[in-house]
Amino acid sequence: MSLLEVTDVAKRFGGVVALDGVTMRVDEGEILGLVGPNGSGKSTLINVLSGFYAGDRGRVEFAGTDATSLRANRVAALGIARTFQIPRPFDTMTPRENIATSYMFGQHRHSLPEAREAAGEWLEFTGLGDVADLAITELTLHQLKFLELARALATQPSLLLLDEVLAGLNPSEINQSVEMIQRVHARGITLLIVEHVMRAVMALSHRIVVLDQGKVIVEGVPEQVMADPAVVRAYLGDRGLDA
Amino acid sequence: MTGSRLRTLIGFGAVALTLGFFPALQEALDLPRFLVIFLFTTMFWVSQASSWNILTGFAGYFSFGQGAWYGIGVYTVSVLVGKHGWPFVAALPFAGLAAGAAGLLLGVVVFRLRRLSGEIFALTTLAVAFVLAAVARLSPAIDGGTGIFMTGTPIPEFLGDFSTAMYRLTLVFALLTVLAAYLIHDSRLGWGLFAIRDDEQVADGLGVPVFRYKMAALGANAFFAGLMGGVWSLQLGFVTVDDVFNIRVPLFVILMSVLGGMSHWMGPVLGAVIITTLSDRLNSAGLADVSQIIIGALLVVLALAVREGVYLRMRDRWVTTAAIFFGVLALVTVLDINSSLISDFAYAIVATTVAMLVPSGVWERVRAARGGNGRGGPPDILAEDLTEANT
Amino acid sequence: MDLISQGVVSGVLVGGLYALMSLGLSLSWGALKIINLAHFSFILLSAYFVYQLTLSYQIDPLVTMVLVVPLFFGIGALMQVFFHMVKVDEFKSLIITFGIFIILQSLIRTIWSADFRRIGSELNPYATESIHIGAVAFPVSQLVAFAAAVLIAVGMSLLLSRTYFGKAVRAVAQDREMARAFGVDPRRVAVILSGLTTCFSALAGLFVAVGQTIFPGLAVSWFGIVFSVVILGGLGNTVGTLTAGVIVGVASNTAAVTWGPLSAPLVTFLILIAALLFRPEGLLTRRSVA
Repeated sequence: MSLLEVTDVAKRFGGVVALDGVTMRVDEGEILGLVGPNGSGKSTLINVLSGFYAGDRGRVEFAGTDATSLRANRVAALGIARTFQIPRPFDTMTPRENIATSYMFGQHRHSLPEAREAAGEWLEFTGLGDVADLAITELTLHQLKFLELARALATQPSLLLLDEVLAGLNPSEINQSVEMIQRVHARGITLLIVEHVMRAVMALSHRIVVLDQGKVIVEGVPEQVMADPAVVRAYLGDRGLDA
Repeated sequence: MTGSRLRTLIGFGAVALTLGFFPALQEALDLPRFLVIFLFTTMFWVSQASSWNILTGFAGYFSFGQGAWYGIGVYTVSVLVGKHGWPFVAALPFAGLAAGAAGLLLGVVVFRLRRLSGEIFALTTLAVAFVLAAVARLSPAIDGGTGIFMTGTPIPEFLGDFSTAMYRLTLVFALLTVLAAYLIHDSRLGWGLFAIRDDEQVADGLGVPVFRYKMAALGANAFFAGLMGGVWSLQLGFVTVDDVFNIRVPLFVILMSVLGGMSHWMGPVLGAVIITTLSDRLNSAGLADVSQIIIGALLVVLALAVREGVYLRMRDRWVTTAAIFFGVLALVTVLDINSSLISDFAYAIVATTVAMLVPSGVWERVRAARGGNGRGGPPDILAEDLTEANT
Repeated sequence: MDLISQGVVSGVLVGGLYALMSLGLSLSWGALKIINLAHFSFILLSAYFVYQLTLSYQIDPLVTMVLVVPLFFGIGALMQVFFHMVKVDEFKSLIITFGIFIILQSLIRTIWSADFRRIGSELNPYATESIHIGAVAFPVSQLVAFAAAVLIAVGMSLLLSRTYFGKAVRAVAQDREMARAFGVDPRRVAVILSGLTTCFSALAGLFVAVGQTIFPGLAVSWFGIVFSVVILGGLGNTVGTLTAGVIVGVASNTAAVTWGPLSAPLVTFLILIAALLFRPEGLLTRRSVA
């Protein structure tokens, strides 16, 4: 059952074509990996899907509803949440307050006291309990990424878009994050993860979509996709085939 | 109702009662009448600074437009009362409403912009005030360059004589403004505004109704500014365009809020008290001309040096604050340096403010040298522990 | 009909001056991301300097350019150095430059008082002379100002598009770190640009002093005009600013002769609002700095 249907989405910035007719889908309950070399349009796609950019053409359908030209906060109201590659916390608030704010304005209205309490749940889930009331400047990158995650989760989404959540983390932090993502998935949330860290993508994804120069070049099960010559060529150029 | 909210509201009540009885106290103790005037001037500024901060401090949208809303308030009442004979009190709500409407109109145009909305908003507010000034000056229906006489306006008996009436009106409206700021600060609206201030795009993405909230903040700002402007028309006496639409109101509210702190509703209140006291003393020392240069310089220095304003620092170090304040006050009273009670307070206020402006680094070193006295200490120690745990 | 054509002509000419006043703000906002409100006080200060020098040394006001322009280059450069030292974001730059504006304006009022000042016609032939073409008069002071504005706008546009310095400015405006990677020193570029744009403001001040009566409150009357021109012209877009200046000049002048002086500031403000609603990036912004 497809949750998200993307049909022929395109986006250009001046002379640069970022997305050149992307067609793909995300099935309910799966973890979809979105990969591709730098500049292939992954982040742009996330921005279009989450309503931060308007696509130039194409159609996006979420759970049967037309989400094509919806702006960010309408998209959020539908149940799609996203994280940012470089964490963007509200920096004059504490982590707890960040999550509380997110919960307060999520799909269902909540009051301030309710939100403060509920924030505790996501703080525990992401292991941020100890730093919950510190200033943002005191958190490590890893913690900030988990805060992004917790804040996105607090909107109680059915689809979560993770934009390079593992970038900049060390191996042990990556392992922790992979485990966290699996736990998120276990709660019944569908995930679309954009990633460069291939071992994580392989470990997590049920399916992978490969983007190159704004187009989908391959999609399928991880092992199949990564062995596909077109994919190898996209990443490594023609020489890669000899190696 | 939470405990802290109840306590704050009780605090409001106590302040209201104390201030409310002051004129009677002043007469009974035969204190100088000037104190009443000084206090209602302070309350005018407390209200202006607080209303400004609802938009600029809470939502992060810098406004130079305080003079515009204030001016609309002044002129609405002046025209209705001075030119059309309306009763003063009846005209007052319209001052707030007219200013509020103007603010919302501006918001509808500027707040929908996707890019640079903050900067463009700031500059547009700067332009608005002077366009309004030109309109008022050139339109005979409003001012026409001749000014409007508000002296001799009949004041309802229940308000008392002129200065008592001004006192009561400014007190009520100042309390309302600060109460509004407080209620907003601690509500969904307030949290949404803070989120908008920190990162509007992300806030929008999380479902904060960004446009509606910004309009609410702007509306509240303009409404209270206009309301107090309407009251102030009486104090101005002879209302002229130059007197109303000059740089003073927008400048002072910025200064007061930056000094006191823009992220907490008490900041502008404190800043207004400090600046009004200082400004009053400078004027009575005959330094009125120089004072605007000093104000400008102060603004630059504060913007550079002060990150979160003195209120939060005073609150976190309240024992030191109280010690310095009452210490200096006692010293100055005993030494009998000044003829005026206000001057005594002024010295105490300046001393405390300057002390609080001393950078945190210096405070840390002082505390370390004294071996740590636990006040203001705990958060830093915790932070150190956690940093160690992380590495 | 003659009145209207005179209004249009005056509008075009004064539009040049408006553009000159606006270039400083537009370029520093577009390229340096600093909204420099102090520019208004620089224009005013320059006007007073020109007035004072002309009076004290009994010289032609245009000659004062030799002194005033380099002086203001220095002031602009120093200001940028100051900004580098203190690391300001856009919010703070508003407050700080506003504070500087207040200080300078108050200083002007303290030194020269609030009285109206005007360079007398014996020293200032430009103000009283006009070239007549048909029934339309072209006041010399306005002609010179307009010519200067065109020269500077076009010159600056060429500088930005053809010279190394111009490319460096555009690079810094788009991506400081990347520019640095290509060997451009963003700080040096910023300082020079700031000096340059302050010169434009100084020149605007000179033409103000030559063309009209000056008084301390004059600066605030420029806010509405300059913002309309800056927004309509597009941030950092020199030719756009010139065009916008002319549009604002013509519109407000023709309004003034048709409907009375009340309409001029209103029309200017309406242009600002319209620009914000319909084309916030400016009229000709394909070739802007950033």
